[in-house]
Amino acid sequence: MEEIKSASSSLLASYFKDTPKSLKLIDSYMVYVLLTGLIQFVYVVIAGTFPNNAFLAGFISTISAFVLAANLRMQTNPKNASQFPTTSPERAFADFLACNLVVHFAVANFLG
Amino acid sequence: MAKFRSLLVLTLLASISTVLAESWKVSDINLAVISRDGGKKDERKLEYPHAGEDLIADSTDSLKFTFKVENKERPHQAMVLFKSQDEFKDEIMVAASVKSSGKGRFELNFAKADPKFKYGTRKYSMAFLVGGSKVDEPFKYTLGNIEIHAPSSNSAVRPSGVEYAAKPEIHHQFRPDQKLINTVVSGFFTVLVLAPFTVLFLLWSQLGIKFEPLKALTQKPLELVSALVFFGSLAGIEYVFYSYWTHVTLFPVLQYLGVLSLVAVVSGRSVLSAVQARRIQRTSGSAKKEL
Amino acid sequence: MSAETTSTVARVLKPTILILIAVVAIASRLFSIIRFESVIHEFDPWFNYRTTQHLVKNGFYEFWNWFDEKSWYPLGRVVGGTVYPGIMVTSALIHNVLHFFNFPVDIRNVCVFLAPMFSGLTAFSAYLLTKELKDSSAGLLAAAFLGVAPGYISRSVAGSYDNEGIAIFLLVFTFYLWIKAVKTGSAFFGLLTALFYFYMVSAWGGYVFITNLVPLHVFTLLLMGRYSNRLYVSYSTFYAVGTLLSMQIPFVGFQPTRTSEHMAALGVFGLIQLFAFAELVRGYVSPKQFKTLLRSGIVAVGAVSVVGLTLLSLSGVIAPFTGRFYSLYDTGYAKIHIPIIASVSEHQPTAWTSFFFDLQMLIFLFPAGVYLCFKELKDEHVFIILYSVFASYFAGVMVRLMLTLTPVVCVSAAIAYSTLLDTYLEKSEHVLASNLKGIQAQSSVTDTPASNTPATTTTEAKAGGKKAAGKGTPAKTVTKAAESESKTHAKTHSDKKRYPIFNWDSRAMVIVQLTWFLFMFAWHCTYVTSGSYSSPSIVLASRQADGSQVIIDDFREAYYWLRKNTKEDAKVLAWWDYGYQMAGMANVTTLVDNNTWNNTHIATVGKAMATSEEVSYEVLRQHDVDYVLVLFGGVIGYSGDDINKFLWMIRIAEGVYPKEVKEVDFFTPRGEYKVDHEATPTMKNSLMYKMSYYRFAELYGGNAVDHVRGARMPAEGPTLSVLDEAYTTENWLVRIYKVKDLDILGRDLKDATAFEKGKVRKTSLLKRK
Repeated sequence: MEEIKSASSSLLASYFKDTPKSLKLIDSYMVYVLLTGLIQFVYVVIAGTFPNNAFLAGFISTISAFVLAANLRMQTNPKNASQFPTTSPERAFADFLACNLVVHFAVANFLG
Repeated sequence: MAKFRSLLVLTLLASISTVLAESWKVSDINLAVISRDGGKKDERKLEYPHAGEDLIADSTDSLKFTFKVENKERPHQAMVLFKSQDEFKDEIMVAASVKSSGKGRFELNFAKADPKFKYGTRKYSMAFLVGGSKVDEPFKYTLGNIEIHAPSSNSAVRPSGVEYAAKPEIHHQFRPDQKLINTVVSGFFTVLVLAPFTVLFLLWSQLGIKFEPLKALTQKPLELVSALVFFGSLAGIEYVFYSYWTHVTLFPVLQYLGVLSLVAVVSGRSVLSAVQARRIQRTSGSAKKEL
Repeated sequence: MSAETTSTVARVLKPTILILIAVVAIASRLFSIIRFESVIHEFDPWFNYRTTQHLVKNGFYEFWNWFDEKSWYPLGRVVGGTVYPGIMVTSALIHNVLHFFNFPVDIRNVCVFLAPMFSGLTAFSAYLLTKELKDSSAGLLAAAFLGVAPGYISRSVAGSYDNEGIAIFLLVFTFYLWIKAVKTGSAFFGLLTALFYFYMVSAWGGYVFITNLVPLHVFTLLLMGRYSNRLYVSYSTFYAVGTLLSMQIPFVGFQPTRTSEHMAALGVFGLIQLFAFAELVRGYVSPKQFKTLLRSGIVAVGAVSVVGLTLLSLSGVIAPFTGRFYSLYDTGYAKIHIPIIASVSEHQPTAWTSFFFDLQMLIFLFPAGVYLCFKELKDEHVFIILYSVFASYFAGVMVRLMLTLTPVVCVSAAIAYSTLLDTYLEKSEHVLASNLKGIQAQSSVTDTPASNTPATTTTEAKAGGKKAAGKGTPAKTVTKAAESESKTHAKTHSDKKRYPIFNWDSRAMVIVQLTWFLFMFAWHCTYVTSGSYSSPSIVLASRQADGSQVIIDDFREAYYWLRKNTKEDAKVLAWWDYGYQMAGMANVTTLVDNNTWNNTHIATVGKAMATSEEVSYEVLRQHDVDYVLVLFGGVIGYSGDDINKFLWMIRIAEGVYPKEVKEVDFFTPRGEYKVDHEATPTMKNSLMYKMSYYRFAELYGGNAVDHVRGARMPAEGPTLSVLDEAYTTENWLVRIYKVKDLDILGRDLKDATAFEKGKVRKTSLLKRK
C-alpha cells in the first residue's frame, strides 16, 4: 500500500513537471469529457435507458470525444513523434476535427 | 352458412314472385323411421302440398327419405331442411342423392348425423327443397314435423346463445408508452451535465493559455480572414447538424454539408499550413541541435 | 534502360494494367447477359430489385418508412427497418447521377450491371491491399486473381443483384484502409475505415466478420507485445466512430451494444484503453514503481469487470448468441435446432472439391503466401494470417462464406506468386538484396535504434520536400543513400538469407511453368464462369441431342400469367423460395418469402403443403389464399422442385405443429422417400403430392415416369377436391391451383366433388347393409 502511495505521488509530480502545456490543455478537456460521461452514466442508472437512442447518442459521443482527444494527445506528444512519421500536429488536429464532425453528424441523426 | 341462408331466402322470394312454365314434379315421397335393428317403426306416404302428421323417433333411430323426380332434368340440389321448433331455430341441412332415373333418397342416422340433433328432445319442422339450373322455380314442400327423443341420460346440452352472431369487436392494443422520469430529476441532471464546463474553464484558466497564434494572426489580415472563414464554416456545420436534429430532412442537409465542408477543407488547409510553418520556424533551431 | 525510364514506364503501365484487369473482371461476368437477356437472373435479388424500384420511384423517406403489405400476408413487413439498404441506395444513387447528366439509363440496367462494375473496384482494392503487404507487382497479381477468381464471380455475375456484389468490394477496401491506418497511425485513415465499415454494415450482414476480425487483429498484436500508439489511434477511432455509425442502420439498431457477436470488439476497445493508460503512466515513473502500480491496477480492473459482466448477463442486458452464429461454429447445431437454416443449400458445409473448383491454382499458392507472411510478420501480415485462418474455417463450414475466403486467397497467392517471380526473374544478387533491404528500411521505421537515423532523415526530407513542392528529388536522394548503404551490407546479408538463382535454364523452367499455370488458371476461370456460374435460374437452358439450345422459360410464363389473370390483391401461397420472385415479377401478395424472419408462418405454409386436403383447406381459408403455386420438375427432370424440397417443409412444419405433421409418416417402412405406388398414405394424401402429380399420369396415358426421382407413377393419379387447376406451364415446371370457394350447399368440398362426378355418397349405414 505504501509503495502504491509513493508511486502514485511520484507519478503526479512527474506529470506536472514534464508535460507540455498543450498536452495539459488536452488533458483538461479529457477530464471534462470524462466527467460529462460519468454524470450521464449515473443518470442512466437512476432513470433507466428509455430513450435508448438518445442515451446511446449522448454516451457514445462522450466516449468518442474522449478517445479522439486521446488520439490527438498521442499524436501531438513530442515524445511520440517517432511513432507517427507521417502525422504532424496540425494534421492530427485536422483529423481530430474531421472525426468529431462525423461523430456529431451521427449523433444528430441518432437523436432522432 | 350465412351466405347460404341469404341465398336461400333469395331463391324463395324468387319462387313466389315469378311464374314459370316448367316446375318440378315430385312424387312417391316417403318418410320412414327405422329403428336400430332395421325394423320400420313408423311411415308416412306424402302427397304435395299436404303435410304429414308428426313423426316420433328415438335418437338411435334413423330416418329414411325417398322420392322420385318426374322431370327429365336431374335436380342439382335436393335436400331436407330441419328446423328446430324451440327458441333457437337451429337449422340442419341434409342433402339427398338423386340417381339418373330420378329416384332420390337419403338415410339419416341421428346418432351419427349433425350434433345439433342431440341437444335434448326437440321437435323439428321438415321442408323438402329441390332446385336445378334449368328449372327456374324451386320446389318447396313442408313435410311436417318430427320429434326426436334424446336418451334421458347422456344428452348433450346446447350451448346457449345464437349460432350466428357478431363476435366481439377486436380493439388494437398498443404498447403503453414507457414512463419517462420526473422532469425535476432530468432537469437537475441537465444542469449537472453542463457543470463540467466550469471545470474545463477552471482548468484551462489555471494552465494560463496564451493565445500566441491569435496575436500572430492579427498581424496578417489574409490569414485572419481564412481563420475566420475556417471557424465560421465549422460553426456552420454544427448549426446544420442542429437543424438536422430539429427540423430539416436529410437531403438538403447533405447539400449544405457538401458546400460547408468544402469551404472548411480549403480554409483549414491554409490556416493549418500557416500554423505549421510558424511551428517549424520556431523549432527549427532546436531540431538542428538534436541532429 | 535507366532507372528513370523504367519508373516512367511503370507509372504508365500500372494504371493501364489495372484498367485492363477491371475490364476483364467486368467482361467475364457478362456471359449470362449476352446469352440470355439483361434481366435479374436469380431468385433472391428480385426483392432487392423491387425495393430499388420503390426507392427510385417514391424517394428515400418513402422507402425508409415503407410498410410492405404484399409480403408475409397477413402480417406484412416493415421493409425499411428489416433490410440492408446499401445496395438499393447505391444503385438509386448511380441511377440519379446518370439521369442528372441526362443519360436515361433504366434502373433495371443499373441493377443488372452493378455487381460487375463493383468487381472492377474490388480488383483495384485488392491491388491496394496487397501493395501494402508486399509491393505493387504483387498488388497487380492480386487484382488480376481476384478479378477472375470463380469464388467471387459466383456471386457477382451480371444480373445477380445481391448484397454480396458490393459487399466484397467494401470488405476488401475496409481491410485495406484498416491496414493503412495501422501502418500510419493516422486518425484520418481510422475515420475512413469507420466510414467504409458503415457502408459495409449498410450493405451486408457479413459485416460481423469485420467487427470480429479487426478486434482480433488488435488483440493478437497486444498479446504479441506489439502495442503501439499507432494501433491505439487507429483502433479507437475505428471502433468509436464505426460503432456509432453502424447503429444508424435501423436493421442493426442497438445490436452493437447488446449481442455477443459485437462484444469482442467492445472488450478489445476497453483493453486497449487500459494499455494506453498503462503506457502513459510508464512514461512518467520508474520501472519499479510502474510495476507496483500495474499490479494494483490489474487487480482493480479485473474485480470491477468480473462484477460488471456478471451483473449485466444476469440482468439480461447482454443477449445470448443467436442461432445463425452458433451454426457457424458448430455445423451440427443448425441441423438439430433450426431446420430453416439448414434447409438453405448455401448454408451447407463446403465440399472440398469446391475449393479447387472455385480457386484452382490459388488454393495451393495460398498456404505458401501465408507462410511468407509469417516470415515477414509485421502488423499487417498478422492481419492477413488471422484473416486467412478464420476465413478458411468459415468457408469450410458454409458454402456461401467461400466468398469471404476468396479475397485473402487471392492476396496471399499473389504474394507467393510474386515472390517466386522476384526470385527467378531478378537480374543479379545485388539488385535483389538491395531491394529487399530497401523495402525493409522504409517500412520498419522504428524497429531498432540503429535504423533510426536513416529513417528520420527520410521523414525530414519528405517534410521538406512537401514544402518545396518538389516531392521527388530529395526523397530519391535519400533512397539512393539507403541503397548505397545497404549495398555495403548486401554481401553478408544475401549470404545469410538468400540464394539467388543465376542459371538461365533453371530460371526458365520455373518461369515457363509459372506462366503455364497462369494460362491454366485463366482458362479454368473462364470455363467455370461460363459453364457453372452464368446460368441464370429464372431461365433454364438445356441442349438437345443435336446440339441446339432449348430455353425453358416456364417461370416467367407462370408469373406473367399470374400478373395478368389474377386480382390485384390475390394471395398466392408457395414455398418461401419463390416469395421474392412472385412479389417482384407477378406482383401478387405472398405469404412467406426469402426473408425468413417468421418461422411459425413458414411452418404454417409447410403444414398446408404436408397435410391432407381437409386440414390444409382450413389453413388456406384462414389465410385468405386464392392460389397455390408449386414447382414440379418431373416432366423435364428439374431437380430443384418442390417434391425434393418437401422434406424440409415437413421438418419445418413438424417443428411447430408436431401433432399434425410427422416426418416419419412420409417414409416407407424401409425408410425410403418414395413417390410412386410405394408412397405412404400420408404422402399420397398430402396436398403437395396431389398438386404435383395431379393429372400427371394422364399426360403419358397412364404410363408416367417422374424424371427427377426416376419413379414409375401409378396409373391413376391423385384427385383434388379443394383446389382447381388454374394454370400449368409449357413444361409443367410451375403449376398454379385456385383454391375453391366454400361449397354453395355447405357440403364438404370432398363430397361436393364426388357429387359432381356422379358418385353416390356412401354413408356408413349403407356400408353396413
